Amino acid sequence: MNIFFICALRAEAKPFIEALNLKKLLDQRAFDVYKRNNFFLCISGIGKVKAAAATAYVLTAFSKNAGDILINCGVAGYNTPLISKGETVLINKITDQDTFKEFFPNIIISHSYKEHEIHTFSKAVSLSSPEKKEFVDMESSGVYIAASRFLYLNNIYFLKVALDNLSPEGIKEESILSVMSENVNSILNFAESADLLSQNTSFEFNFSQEDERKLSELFEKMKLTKSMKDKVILLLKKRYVYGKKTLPDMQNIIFPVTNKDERKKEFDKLIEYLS
Amino acid sequence: MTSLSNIYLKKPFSHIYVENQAFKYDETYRITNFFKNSQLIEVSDYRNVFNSHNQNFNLQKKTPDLILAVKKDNFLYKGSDLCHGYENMDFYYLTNMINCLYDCDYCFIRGMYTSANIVYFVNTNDFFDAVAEEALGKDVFIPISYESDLLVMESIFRIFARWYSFCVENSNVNIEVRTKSSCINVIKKYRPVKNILLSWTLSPDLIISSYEKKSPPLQKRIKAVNQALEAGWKVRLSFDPILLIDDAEKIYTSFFNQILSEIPVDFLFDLNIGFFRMPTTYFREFKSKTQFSPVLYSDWEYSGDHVTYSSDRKEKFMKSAEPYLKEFSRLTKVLYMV
Repeated sequence: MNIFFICALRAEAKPFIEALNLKKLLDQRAFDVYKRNNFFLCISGIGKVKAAAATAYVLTAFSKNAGDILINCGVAGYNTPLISKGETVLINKITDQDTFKEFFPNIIISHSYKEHEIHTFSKAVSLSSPEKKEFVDMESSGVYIAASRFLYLNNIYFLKVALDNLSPEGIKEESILSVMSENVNSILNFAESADLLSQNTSFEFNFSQEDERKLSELFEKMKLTKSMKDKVILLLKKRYVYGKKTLPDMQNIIFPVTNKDERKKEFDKLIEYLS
Repeated sequence: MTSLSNIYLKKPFSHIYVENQAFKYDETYRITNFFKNSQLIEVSDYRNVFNSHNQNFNLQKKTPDLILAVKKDNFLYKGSDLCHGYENMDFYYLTNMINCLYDCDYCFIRGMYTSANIVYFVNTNDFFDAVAEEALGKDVFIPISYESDLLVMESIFRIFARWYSFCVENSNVNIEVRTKSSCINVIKKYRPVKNILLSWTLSPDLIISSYEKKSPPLQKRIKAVNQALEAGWKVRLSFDPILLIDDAEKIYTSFFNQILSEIPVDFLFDLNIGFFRMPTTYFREFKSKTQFSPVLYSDWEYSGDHVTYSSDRKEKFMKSAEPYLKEFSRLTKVLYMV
């Protein structure tokens, strides 16, 4: 599975880029996207709208599977004794402070982080703000709304590192870099666990790339309609479920077709072969 | 699913979502206290979490969470007038709880809901009020567990206990409690009453081990049925759904034989038999969640608003099962579910 990181700031992203030796993809213009193997990182910029846009952008371009992992990580402000400075918190509820809509990342993984809810604001919140909350950021709701269109909710994670005691004006880039660097290894270990869990709990039927290529060739040769293709795929899935895990050699029993009658004849032959 | 994944899976009920309004009910505090090590997450409306799209139903089934909610309306649904065994009564059903601990490949809930998390409506008294009002001056029949299995979770939720007390005080309210559980101990302390029907779904062991995951084996269910009969409870058996998998005739005739020899069928209230069927509207979603189960792969026939096996396939089965079905009919009332 692919693993995506969405960070608002370069200082939040840098420890991941270095730890994973990610390389910038020069052909990506809308957002800075980094990649190595199955790891992707996108820097969104500050705010939920940019975060949603970046999430949709990178998932559209690079995610092919609802089992891919997405982790929104970055710093957040806190105003509660339950959370300590520098601590990574796994978010179990997001409230958008503009719409008051609630979102619930579905935590199915076993983990050692503290869990807490977060409130996403459109502007920085300080201790003097009347609407201040215990734990706040500016991206989570945007990332959730976009990512939940693509991925299973249990594969969307929000790991927020407590940084400022609701005094956003005093935040320095070095302090962001420092707290993120302290937490990067733990977050990468978490990402690895999330990936392993997702890989081992796939309930979706997917043909391998090689099998997909073979099927596509066969369908082209037989000029099958959509419903005919669906029937063939259903029978192949049935064979798989009943223990025949490899794709049968169908090319050799099928002749290329040139008209509807030939197609019908070859299709019936194939269905009989697979049944 | 590999054992590796179990290492990374959280424990069941590690998260309890509580609707704001549910905090008005003592039941909420009793349940949250029972799960005091779980994360408590406040929700303004339970549907925000239960109805979210893109939930991984199958993974949630492995380790469900709990949602405590308040049912606001539609406490009772009018049921079909066909085949419920209480022809002289008005038929309703209700859902005090949604989803259950068992993981049955064929369950219609797979097509009905996007979440496998368990919802418990804590305002049970409101259900009682609605039932009492509807039952004023007449007899009613109400299955209370169409969308859950209450008995297997009775030690935690005690829903049966509350309905039992209600039925004792309201003899015109007849309820059916459906179960696959073997938890006979939870009802042993109650005196059988004529307006509570305990209804066990029984299946061949091969079907149970393959398609009714986490549920008790047949022998344990038979034992529970016999104990309930001995205690004097009104008992219904349900062979529903019958799954026409490969060798179904052989598997089910052996099963029917076992039931006839191990359960005093003539002491039953009645027996329900039905082939797998599902509303067409649920079937699409059901298919997407059941891709790895042989249950899905059959020659389905779209019959009215339902999907079921082809008539030919059903007829073939009925022919081979005929001697057994005749014997069941001789011993008790048999209802064929359609």
